[in-house]
Amino acid sequence: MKTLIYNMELIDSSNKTLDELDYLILASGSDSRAYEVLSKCKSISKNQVVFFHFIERLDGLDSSDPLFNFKKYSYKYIQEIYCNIKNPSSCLEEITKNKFNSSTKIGIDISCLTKPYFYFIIKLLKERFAVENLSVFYTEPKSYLFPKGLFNAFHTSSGPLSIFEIPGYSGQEKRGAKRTLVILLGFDGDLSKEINEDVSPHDTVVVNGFPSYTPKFKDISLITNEKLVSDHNIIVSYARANNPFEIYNLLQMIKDKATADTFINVAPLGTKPMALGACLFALHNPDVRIVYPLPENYENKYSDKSWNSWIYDLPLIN
Amino acid sequence: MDLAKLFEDFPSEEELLNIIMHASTTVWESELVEKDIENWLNNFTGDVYELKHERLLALWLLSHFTYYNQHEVRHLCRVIYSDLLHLIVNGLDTSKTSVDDAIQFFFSKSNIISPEKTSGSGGFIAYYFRHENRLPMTLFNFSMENINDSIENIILIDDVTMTKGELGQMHRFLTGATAKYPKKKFYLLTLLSSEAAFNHLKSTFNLEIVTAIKLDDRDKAFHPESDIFSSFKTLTDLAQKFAEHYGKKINIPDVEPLGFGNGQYTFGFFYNTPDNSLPIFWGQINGWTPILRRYHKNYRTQTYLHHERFV
Amino acid sequence: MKDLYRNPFSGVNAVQLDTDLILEYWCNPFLYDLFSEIKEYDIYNDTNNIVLMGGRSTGKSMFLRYWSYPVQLKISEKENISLNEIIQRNKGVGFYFRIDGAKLKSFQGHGLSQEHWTSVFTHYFELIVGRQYIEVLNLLEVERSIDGKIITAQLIPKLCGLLEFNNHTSLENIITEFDLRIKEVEVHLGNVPFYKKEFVPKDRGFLSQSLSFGIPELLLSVIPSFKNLNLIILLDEYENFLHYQQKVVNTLLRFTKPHTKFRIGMRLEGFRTFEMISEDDFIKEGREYRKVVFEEVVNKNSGYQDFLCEIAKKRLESIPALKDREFTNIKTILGDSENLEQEAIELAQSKPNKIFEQFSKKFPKEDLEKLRCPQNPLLELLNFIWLSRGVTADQTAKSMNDYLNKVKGSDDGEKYRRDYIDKYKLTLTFLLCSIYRTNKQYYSFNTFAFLSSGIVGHFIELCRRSFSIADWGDTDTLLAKGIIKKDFQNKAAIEFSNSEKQQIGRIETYGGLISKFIVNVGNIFRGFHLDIQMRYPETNQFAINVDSIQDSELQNALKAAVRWTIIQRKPKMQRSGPSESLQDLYMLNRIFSPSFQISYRTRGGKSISLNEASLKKLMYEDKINLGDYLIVDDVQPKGQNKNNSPDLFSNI
Repeated sequence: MKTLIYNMELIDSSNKTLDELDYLILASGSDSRAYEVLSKCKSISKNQVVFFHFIERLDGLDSSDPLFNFKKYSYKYIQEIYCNIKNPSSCLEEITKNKFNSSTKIGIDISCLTKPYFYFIIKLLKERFAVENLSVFYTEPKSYLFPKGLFNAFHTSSGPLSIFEIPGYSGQEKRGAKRTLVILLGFDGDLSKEINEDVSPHDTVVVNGFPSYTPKFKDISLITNEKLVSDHNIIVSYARANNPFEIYNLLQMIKDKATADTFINVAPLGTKPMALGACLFALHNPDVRIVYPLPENYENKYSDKSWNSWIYDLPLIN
Repeated sequence: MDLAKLFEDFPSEEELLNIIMHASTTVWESELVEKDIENWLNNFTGDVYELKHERLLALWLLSHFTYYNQHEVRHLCRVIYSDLLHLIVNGLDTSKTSVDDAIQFFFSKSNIISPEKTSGSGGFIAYYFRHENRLPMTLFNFSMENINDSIENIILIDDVTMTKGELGQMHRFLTGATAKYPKKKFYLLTLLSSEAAFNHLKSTFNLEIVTAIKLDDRDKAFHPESDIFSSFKTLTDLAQKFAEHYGKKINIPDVEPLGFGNGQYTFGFFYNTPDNSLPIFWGQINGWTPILRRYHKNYRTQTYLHHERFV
Repeated sequence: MKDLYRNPFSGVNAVQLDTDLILEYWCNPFLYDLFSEIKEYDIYNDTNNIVLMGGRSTGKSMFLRYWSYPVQLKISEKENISLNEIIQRNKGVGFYFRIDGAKLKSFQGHGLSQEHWTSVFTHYFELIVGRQYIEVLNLLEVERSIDGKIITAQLIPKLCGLLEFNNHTSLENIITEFDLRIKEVEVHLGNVPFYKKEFVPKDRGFLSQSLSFGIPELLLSVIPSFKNLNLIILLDEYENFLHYQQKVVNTLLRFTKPHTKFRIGMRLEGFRTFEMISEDDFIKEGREYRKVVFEEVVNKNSGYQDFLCEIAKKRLESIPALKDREFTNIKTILGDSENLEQEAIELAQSKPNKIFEQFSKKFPKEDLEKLRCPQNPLLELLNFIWLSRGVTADQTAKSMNDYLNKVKGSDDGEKYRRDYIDKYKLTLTFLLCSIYRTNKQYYSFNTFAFLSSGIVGHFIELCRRSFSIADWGDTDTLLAKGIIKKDFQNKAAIEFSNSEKQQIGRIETYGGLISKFIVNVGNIFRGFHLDIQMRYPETNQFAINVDSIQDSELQNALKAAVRWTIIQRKPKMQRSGPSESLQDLYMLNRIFSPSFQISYRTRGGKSISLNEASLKKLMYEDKINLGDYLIVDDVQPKGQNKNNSPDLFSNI
């Protein structure tokens, strides 16, 4: 296996990648991070911009909501896709109208896209359009919102949970395979517990995002997932919260150490860069399954303000 | 000032103890038990505010303390190594030189040294660094006096680099080192550094710094941007006054009431707590019971017996 | 010592256990007489299909897996016999299947029709069942329990014919062929979101029953030793199957063959449908299957507590620090049962005259003085309540003294004893806690057994939390004396109770309604517990006729509450009035008792009667008028108080 040099940079004024894109794909949202990357795009009028508008987010908003701030930019070409947040493949027809091909320079800002959505879009670009490389953007939140300042009161969603395979990432389970579940820890302890029970793996590896965006986050994810983490059978590993390539390396190591009859399941509950690393790994290893909890409702606001914006160069072909 | 109103929505002692309990079992490897906390809370005697409010503030600060256990320290050693590798090969033209060759070449011309004397924490970290990254012993050197002419890269390794400016230990070390070896390239690998120290050292000495965790104003307990009080901004000044009072009471020589260099930090390692962190956590003189141990660097005394009855 | 210790109750989920651990942790429920409807013999031999119903963590998965051939193989190895011998002894072989919810849900959507997905799922299901059959044959071939000639000359060719596989020469090859076809389905599931094309198998598709019943028929006809065997399909977590998927399996239940039977594990109310593929027919309990409820241990006098002790013992023995010191009896560690008198004494310690002062507002002090009992505040409270019921002070005092002095032949003493011991002791404790504005403590093995509501997993979780808090709070007592203080146990109970209550909101579709309902009903029960007259002590059940509810949302929410074991149905039925239809009795899962500060026991007597209108209010309204439900016989509430909470002394 060839060793590759990853590219991950902070986006600043000297970064040219944004302006060299043919397409920029992103989701609208009320979160302050939604258009952080877009705002750094100097020549936005040259790009073709594809907006995903989740119907559930639009519900009940008035025109002064920050979600509509994207309208203050002028676009040469803009496609607005209205879709159902719970069903990524509902956008298939619309997005395939674009003329992507293997040499198209595509950027995708995952800051406000849900994980199932960007997983779906990335695989779609690879499978249907033979896109080989992708520039992925992400803006970190400055802080997360904890009700009453208590870590264990944090929830990104409410209502019932339903565990499902992210479309396109069903994996392949061999006969008699032992399941290993790799959970990339988030702050919402309910989710990891549900997934662990639904998948019922033989082994569970929990990956804590560490170093994290701020030092204390690495404790918060362990505290909120205490019930899972305190299980003596659980192995705790670590990978940087904002570096998808570290997660990739970790998953590779887990796969290398596993026996041939291991069926690897990954639950990307942690940060989006971590989820991105898992996505890339699954693209290169189609026998890996990605499972995810689909809630009834997403919390609209669980983070506050923007912090660093990153660009990751993703090689979609192994 | 109506303190009761300010604390209206504040978590209760029980809620905070619950969080600390879970932190202890999941992160602190059960090193901390309820008795230890109660002993520590007994330090606070209602000097500044009502005792119940002081206890709440103390517990709040403790619940935000970041403790790095052994596994995490080992992981940080792997992180700085992988970051160093990335630094070495970033921008490499792999059509001319393979990644493997570039790294081999780099290390063939490098020595890793702790900037501290033997028995300092830098040496301790160097040990883990070597283990975790399966590095050869020959890569490590025990002294700056011992560097071979063929060596082009000097890699310094330490756990914490926090102090900005010329007072900082690292600044003093680098002043001497770069003067002694002006043509060699210096790298600093550090598990944690403050943004200020990072920027200062980088610009002053033109060295490459690799740090796993860079602390900024959000990590200073009482800074306006502090994460610790983001949910209770109105309590920041109160809490600072509280910590300062008791910091003065502990009265650690050469250390300000809010930590060395007015650090205001709230972190520590399984092996030691840096003096940049709030002294109320680690102070152990003048009758103060610490919640975490700090092992000072003794540059002054030369006491070798400590009241042993039998030797 | 610390290094040899870890929480003995952390991390064991039966589905995740490998076969060795299944055996290690297995406690045979039949030895404890936990079920009346099923015997061990029935597992392999009952000619009916069996549906095992119970909430999460009741032990269904452990139970089903135990009878599956991988675990039986382990048993055979331990006993030094062959797999065939154990199969013959059991007169059957079990095949365990669990398809996780995520996988089941992937068989839908993407613009393809339900009919199409039904075919794909049926094909997939037949393949995974068929594969396991061949796996067992392979094991038997390896141990030479089946004549090699039968395998090569008859079995393999006939299998290839049935399956329309290309001619294979070994069972291993046939299994590989199965793998390829299963993989084909999984690859399709991975690609269908991007291409939205229908699945077309490279070779043939398998229809319902073709392999699941076809292969057993073949085996029975070809292999002599299989002639009298039953092939048992152990299907777990049936509640995860989608509606149409259950129709597929329901059809199999209807048409099972004599030697192929199902044992299905599911949550209560886990059937999404009783329909079959042919929509004009249904399966029916008693005809296609019989039901065994795992949670009926709640309602019966059974060996449940002994069963829990045994389970706990295995866990405790796995920890060297506890085993070495013989701290392996959970009853000793937690205490056998509560000591209510001790609790009362501790409560009253700080203010011994509080009850006296409260009652002295209404009753003459000289009467109250006669009834003081400082050594037992519960008796003192009972005395004052008797007084409030119209019994004279002298009579009450005599009754108490006769009881305390064990005066023989005293009717007064006997009535007093019955009231105190048989009826009201726990109720008095709740009242006393209320007077002292403190919470009732929940501790002891007996209490935890009750709180677990027949759900083994809940008992284990209560223990886990207790050990965790004890390790934090006082590890010395835990490891040196093998005792967990009641405060720690109580904390564990309260935390778990609150956590479970919070989780209700996460239930699919009806979580919000159920959550509100539970809070309202819990508060109503709490109101009854605060009645100083103790008219309906320990009321914690309600009655309702579910089938008469017209509103489907309400009915489904209630059924979901049962399915998720938020409420538990009792076998008894009652009528709300002589001319009224029968109502089922339900109680809140007892794990919620600490959260609402109510009793965990089941008493006879009053249950709140609900109808559709009241159910609607309880499910939709944030605040309800407790007075509507606390009306008791001749006493009407004296108008509403501001907080809408029952006034403890309003009826004195």
